[in-house]
Amino acid sequence: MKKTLIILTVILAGLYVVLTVLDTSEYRLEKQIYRVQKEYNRIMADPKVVPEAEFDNLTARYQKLIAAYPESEVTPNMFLFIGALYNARGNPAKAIENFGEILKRYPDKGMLCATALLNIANTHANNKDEAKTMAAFDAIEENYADTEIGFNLPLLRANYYLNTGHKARHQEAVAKAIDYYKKKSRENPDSQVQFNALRLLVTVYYGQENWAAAVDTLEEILLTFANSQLMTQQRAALFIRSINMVCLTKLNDYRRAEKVYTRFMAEYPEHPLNKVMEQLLGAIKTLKDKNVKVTTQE
Amino acid sequence: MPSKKSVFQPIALLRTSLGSIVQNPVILYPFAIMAAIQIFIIEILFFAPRYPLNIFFGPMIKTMEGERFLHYPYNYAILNKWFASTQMVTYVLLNSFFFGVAVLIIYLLNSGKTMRLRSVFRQALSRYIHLAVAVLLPVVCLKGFAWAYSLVIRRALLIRSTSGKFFMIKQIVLMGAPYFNLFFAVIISVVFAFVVPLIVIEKKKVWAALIDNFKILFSSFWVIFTVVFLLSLVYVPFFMLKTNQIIYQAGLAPEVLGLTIVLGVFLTMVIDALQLTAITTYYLLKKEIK
Repeated sequence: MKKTLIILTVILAGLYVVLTVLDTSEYRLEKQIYRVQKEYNRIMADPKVVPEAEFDNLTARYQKLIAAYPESEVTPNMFLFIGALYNARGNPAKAIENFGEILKRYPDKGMLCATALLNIANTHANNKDEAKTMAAFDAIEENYADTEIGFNLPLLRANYYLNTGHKARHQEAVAKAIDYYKKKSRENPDSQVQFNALRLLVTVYYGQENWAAAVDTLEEILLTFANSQLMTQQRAALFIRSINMVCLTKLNDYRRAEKVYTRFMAEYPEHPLNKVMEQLLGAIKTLKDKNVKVTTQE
Repeated sequence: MPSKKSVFQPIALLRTSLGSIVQNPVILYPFAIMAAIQIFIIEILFFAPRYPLNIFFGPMIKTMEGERFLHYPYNYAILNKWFASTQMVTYVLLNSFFFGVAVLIIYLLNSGKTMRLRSVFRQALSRYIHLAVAVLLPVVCLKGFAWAYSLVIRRALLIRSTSGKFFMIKQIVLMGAPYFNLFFAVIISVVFAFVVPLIVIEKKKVWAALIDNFKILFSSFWVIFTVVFLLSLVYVPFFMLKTNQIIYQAGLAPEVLGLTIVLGVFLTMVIDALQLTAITTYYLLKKEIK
């Protein structure tokens, strides 16, 4: 009996050792990053009350991990975290230096470089350095236009001018963003690019408070992508909620919402969303009959 | 040594069982093998998201749970979930056999006959089908209860009150789920308590054993219930740890969850050993008095 139990224990211990030795994944790094990230989140929750030594200690831990695992997939992100830490302690030069490390070390990783440039742009923007902010935006446009950040860039520029109070330039950037997303939508019919372009167009119209155009675009998304895989249940629910909200609270126009749902049901008579739309049409009719005016809570 | 009459008291029965195990650690042998098998499964699941096991398990985890579960600390969630789902299969297919072995060992120790483990294993193996069915029956009952309780939960979720009588009912149904499950598991264990000893010792077929089990149970329900209930109380802290997600809320390291699973295996081993020894001892004493 004892012999069997010893053999079983040896087998289990041996298996553990063998599988640990054979493991070439980044499990150890993941464990270390998890602990460092917990510390990062704690510090970033209220960086003003954190002593300098804790910043230094955390930065050193990141640098140690970078040195130990230079080829890991997750290593580039550590430069972003170090940069954010320097930003939080009011050292933009060191922050930019760390974001810049990504551009130097990983020039082939488009999305990563675009993220680094966006961080550089945001750092300059926080320091009210418009020229350098624009230079970073230009670099994204020039080199990483095909990334998600590149695609969002017209909107980012418009937001920058809005936040810095440049009304005229904001209007100009918004007009450019609208043209850009319309063009992208036209050039890439029935694709993810069109889907994303239309969604961003809605965001731009929201910013402009151009509610009618926003509903038109939401309607276009619903009708164009009704049977697409891109139209997940959650997304469909979000679009429908947005149409309701804008039509009832901003445009005060029940008929506009009715028109969207009726048109959708006519074009897609077998669509699973029709049940929801029928219910909404019923609810709209009740509101209309009772002459209820819907407002948003301020 | 307590008298035969006093052994029919739950606490005395438990004390006697503990004494038997301490004096005859061989009783723990089948339970130790069961624990080793469980630890083996835990090891495999623990390393499943990592090379080289991820060649096989990686695509499965990715498809069934999502990419992030291949990485730390989410791998512990997989370990917990997948280990729990293997439990029913190992319980019916493996534990049933080792429960039979354990009962035979206790029987042979009590009757003073010479015991050869190889022969004990062979005898238990000859009763395997009956043992597996005997263990499957309570599992099916438990699953049936869990299904029925899920209906109650669904109904409770429809309660919209945020205070008062109905809110209280909702809270009791939702928060009490693991405890109701545990209580029902106790009842089920008691209802089928003597089936395994009857199959192994009396060499009865499962249905005959089931009928005789109910006859014995008629006069001994509360003793067995108290024994099983007292032992099940040991599980409560573990239930609380898992259901209230204390581990996550307290910000403890994810490894604590892994450790809890491993400790749970050893705890189950000790409780199962005590429970089965107590039930078998009780059965043998009753038989002797008859």
